[in-house]
Amino acid sequence: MTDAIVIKGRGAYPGIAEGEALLCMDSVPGWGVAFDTRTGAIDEPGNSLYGQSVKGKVLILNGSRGSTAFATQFHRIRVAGVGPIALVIPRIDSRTGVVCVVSRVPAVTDLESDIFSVVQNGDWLRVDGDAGSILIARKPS
Amino acid sequence: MKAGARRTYRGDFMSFRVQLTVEEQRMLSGDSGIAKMKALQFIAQYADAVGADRLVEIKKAQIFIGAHHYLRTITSNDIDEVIAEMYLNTSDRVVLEKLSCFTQTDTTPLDPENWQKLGISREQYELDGRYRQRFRQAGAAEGGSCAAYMIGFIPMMGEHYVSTESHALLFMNSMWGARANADSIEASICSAVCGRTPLWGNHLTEKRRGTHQILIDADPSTVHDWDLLGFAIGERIPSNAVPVLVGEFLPPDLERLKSCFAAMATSGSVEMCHIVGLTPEAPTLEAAFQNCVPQETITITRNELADVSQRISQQGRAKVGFVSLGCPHYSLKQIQDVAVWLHGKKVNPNVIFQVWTALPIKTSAARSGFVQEIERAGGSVLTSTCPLVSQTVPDVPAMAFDSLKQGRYVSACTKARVFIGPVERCLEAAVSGVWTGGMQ
Repeated sequence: MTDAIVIKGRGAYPGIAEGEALLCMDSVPGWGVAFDTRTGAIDEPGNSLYGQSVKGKVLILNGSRGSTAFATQFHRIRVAGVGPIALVIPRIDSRTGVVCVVSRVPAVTDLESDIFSVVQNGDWLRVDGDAGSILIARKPS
Repeated sequence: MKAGARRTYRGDFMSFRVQLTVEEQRMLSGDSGIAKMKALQFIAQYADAVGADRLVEIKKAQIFIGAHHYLRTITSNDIDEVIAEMYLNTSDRVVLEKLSCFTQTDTTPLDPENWQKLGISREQYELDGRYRQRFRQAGAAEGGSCAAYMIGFIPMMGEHYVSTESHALLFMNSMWGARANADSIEASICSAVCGRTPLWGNHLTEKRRGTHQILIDADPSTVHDWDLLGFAIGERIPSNAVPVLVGEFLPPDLERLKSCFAAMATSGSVEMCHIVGLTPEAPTLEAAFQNCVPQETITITRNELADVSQRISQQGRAKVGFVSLGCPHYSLKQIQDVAVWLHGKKVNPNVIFQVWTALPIKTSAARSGFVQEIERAGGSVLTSTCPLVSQTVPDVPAMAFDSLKQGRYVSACTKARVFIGPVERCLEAAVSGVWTGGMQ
């Protein structure tokens, strides 16, 4: 656990989970197709994560976009069994607040520092939704 | 830590950080029924996620129900199972009980009187009917309109409510000083069931403070100008900013604001907008900013509106096979304007021409003779949904809309050429069968 960094925030949904980070800078659309519900892959052409699956990942979600149907996108992939294992939402809003609830996975939000400048895709993250903290480690070898 | 993603699952938890009243705790214990218990559990979890200290009672709810496409994720034919999983967020089979406050439906996936005309199957129509019946049994009223405020859903100054319709919420928060967050389809239904929402965001006076000053130097005049203006503002400000509009412009009417807010809530995540001298919380610039300094001042010019138009709409000339008006749903005045324009004219036989509104407005439009005039010309007046929500956009190479919201969303899910422009140009295209280019 050398080189570990801790980012503090606020727990948004309880529980502890760990996995590979996936940075979703563009978020996903609130209306229309956001994910392929068979694979969990982001299915929005032009999205920087187009074609990449969120299944089993620690998804770092950069806010919400558009419609009040936004949470249903995450609700659907959770029901289909292809949702993320944990959520990190740098700044909460009402739509991403509901995403935490329907995803039913540990979540941390309102971070005290800029996670995007610290974490890269594939980094190993431990999300503690009880304590409201994220432990960032190097990729496991 | 070691390789292999893992997590500790906590299951249903009943301990929350949000402070609950005795009545809420009683509801959470199941004393008021399982549906209310599950709904309050959802709202308390949501309150914890956003960091709310307590909940607030709501008096009105607008909810998005029916056999909507996204519910097909669950293959069950048992609608109570689907409602429990997709609305109450529980895998237990929970039957909906009485709703806690006045609840009116948003758009549904079809027009219950004209579903066959839209090419919807009987199976889908009947399934939708079962959902609507279940919510009626629970006490919901069928409004069937995105523009709920046009058919009597009018929360007053300071009133707490919930709504699934982003533009209507922006309209009601801004124009009447009512209080709601654009959270989600699930949360709105849970709020309707348990009568609570987190006391957070737009429910708090300090969060309604203006953040960005928007200088309007674009001389907006038509409904389309206001549509473009709303879109431009939404694009220029960060998520959840509160714009304050100032400048030399004629006060917009309901139709202009309806379009402006629809576009603004599409290009941005705007839930509250002050217009100095017009909206109740902005009698002055200082009041709109609650005596704080704007984070930024942004000027919107006429050139910027032209730029939005160039980017959002296809350019040039093309034969169109579909023209749709009425996003958000048309007012009686707008239907009258269309009927008057079409007097003595005929819609091109190669064009499907639709006007969308709410059922009570269509009833008045029919009594006024407007519906008959539009139908005589070869068009249809349809209710309760729209091409996007009903997923009935015809398969034609080119189409036209008078709404940036509808046009932009449809563009994302079709390979057809999508033109967006003023209503007059849409009507000309419907009659001639050709969209003609040119400046806005």
